Amino acid sequence: MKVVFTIIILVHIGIFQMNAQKANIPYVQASAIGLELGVNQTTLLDKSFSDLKFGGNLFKFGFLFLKENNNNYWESNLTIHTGNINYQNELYDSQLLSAELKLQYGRLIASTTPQKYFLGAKLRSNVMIINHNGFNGGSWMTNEILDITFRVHLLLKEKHKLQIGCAYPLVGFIARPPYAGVDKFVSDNALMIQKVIFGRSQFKTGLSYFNPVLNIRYIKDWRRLKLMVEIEESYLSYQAARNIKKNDLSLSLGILYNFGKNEK
Amino acid sequence: MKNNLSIITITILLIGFSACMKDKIGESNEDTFQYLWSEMSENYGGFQARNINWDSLYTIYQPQALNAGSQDELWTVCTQLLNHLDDSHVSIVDTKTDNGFISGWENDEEVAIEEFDLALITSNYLEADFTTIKNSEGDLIHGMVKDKNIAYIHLPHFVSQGNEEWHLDFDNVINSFSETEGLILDLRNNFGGITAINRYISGRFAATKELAFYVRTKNGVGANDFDEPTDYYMEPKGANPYTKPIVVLINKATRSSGEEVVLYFETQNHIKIIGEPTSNAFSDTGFDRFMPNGWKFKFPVQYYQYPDGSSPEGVGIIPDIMIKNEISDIESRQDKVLEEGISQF
Repeated sequence: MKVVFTIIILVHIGIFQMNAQKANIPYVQASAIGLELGVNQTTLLDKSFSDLKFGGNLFKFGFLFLKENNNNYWESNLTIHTGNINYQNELYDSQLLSAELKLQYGRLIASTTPQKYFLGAKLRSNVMIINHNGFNGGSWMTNEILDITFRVHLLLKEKHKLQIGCAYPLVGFIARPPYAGVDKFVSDNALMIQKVIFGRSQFKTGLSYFNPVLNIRYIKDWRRLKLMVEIEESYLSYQAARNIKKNDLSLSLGILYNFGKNEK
Repeated sequence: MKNNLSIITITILLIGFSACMKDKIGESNEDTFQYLWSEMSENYGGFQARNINWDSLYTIYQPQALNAGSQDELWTVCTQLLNHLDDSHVSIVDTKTDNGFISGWENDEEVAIEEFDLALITSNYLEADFTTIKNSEGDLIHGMVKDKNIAYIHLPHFVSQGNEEWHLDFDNVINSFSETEGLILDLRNNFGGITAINRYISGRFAATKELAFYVRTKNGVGANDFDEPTDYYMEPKGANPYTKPIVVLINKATRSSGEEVVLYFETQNHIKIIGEPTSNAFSDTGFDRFMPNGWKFKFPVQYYQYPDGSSPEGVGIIPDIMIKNEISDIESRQDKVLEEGISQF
């Protein structure tokens, strides 16, 4: 399934490339900063935590910075997901907290009005903690990942835009609980949770850390305000001492303030 | 059109990934028993020390589980299976009824708890100006034995965190006893806590550096899948470790970190252990394992050994002097174990 999906992504990137033509770009946006709120429907099968599938709706909150000019874009996001997850019997109420910092850059590789195609990279640092009943049950995952990204910016009509992007990990450092959930390192550092969670990261590539992300974003611009509605789908499958599979489907609404110099 | 189809294809594939996650545990009696037995078989660290033939217990209890006519009957079968381990770190809880079970607890640790009375000690055996350190997990007591130049400290646990980090002031407690001729450290009914804390405390009573024990942790499903052993040493810590004669009191309800600290004390010539064998629940436990029927269980995943390769697991720590209270002693206002400890000075 992973190989099939990877091939499909690459084929579609190729289709976009073949259809592209260079053209002058009539619209350019400067910078924007703002907040986003949303909900994330998460489904999780984390063998370090449980052999049962857990799920729930998490509250999503974030800060964004966007910058775009004729040839590239920059993005920076700090996003927090928090909420309860449970098994279908609703007896194992647990808390999931996730925080992620992302830095993205995309370079224009082709354009054909009204579309622009960007190829880029994303650097993200993420921590996820699951807590059941005062860590009688629990799990964690931290990662620092470099993704390759591809994005299409589509001008629907003046001041209405659609951005469709996908990303896939290239390399990264991943930390997960040991096989038994506890070992000497965890036991000796029980009073330093940050050392336990972030310590002993392992270098992995996208061949073993399977985490495709699809993102569709609608933007409505006014002179000083930007409204953003975003859907993001992320699937993760990673085998460490214990396997984790996680699916996140999030919907968020962002309000941003436009500033900076508009170019034409 | 091509682009629209691409988006739809990718979206369907990605959303479809969530369907790849499936529970692998069913809800039948057979599935419940099988999951419990298999998880223990693959991940419990104490079979070897306890000489438990887990496979033979499967042949005995699995048919009973299949024939159980209710969840209560299945619960009885599963708890009888776990009770063979006699390991108070093995526990199972029914989250629907709040019914819980601890392996080996009944008629064992449960009784020992009743054979210790701190109020009896403070009223009959300590000077009136003893100090109480309030703690949400259990108050700590220290003071002087009546009419003796002997210090007394009772540690009910090794939980020290948040705004109750009593261990950070422990050096001051020890310093206050610097002029005594000896000290009684009472670890009876110490239910354990954070291993980093007991290791912090133990060094405050060390005169020499000695190898106390080593620990191996399960890292795979095979019976012998343990990581490399980690050595743990008793060594002097703090500005002024107390190295005058010490008597450590233990009982069957001394467990977990409460027992581990005694492994350190056993290495020191100036420390004598008095009481009855401890609980034998040394190892750290893994996380709760959840089952579809609302039961969750946890168990130890490590194996403790002395430097000579023998193990205190399955037996507990054997004291230098064996003596235990009976409930009748407590009722008649006598703590024979403490009196034996005082007589050593």
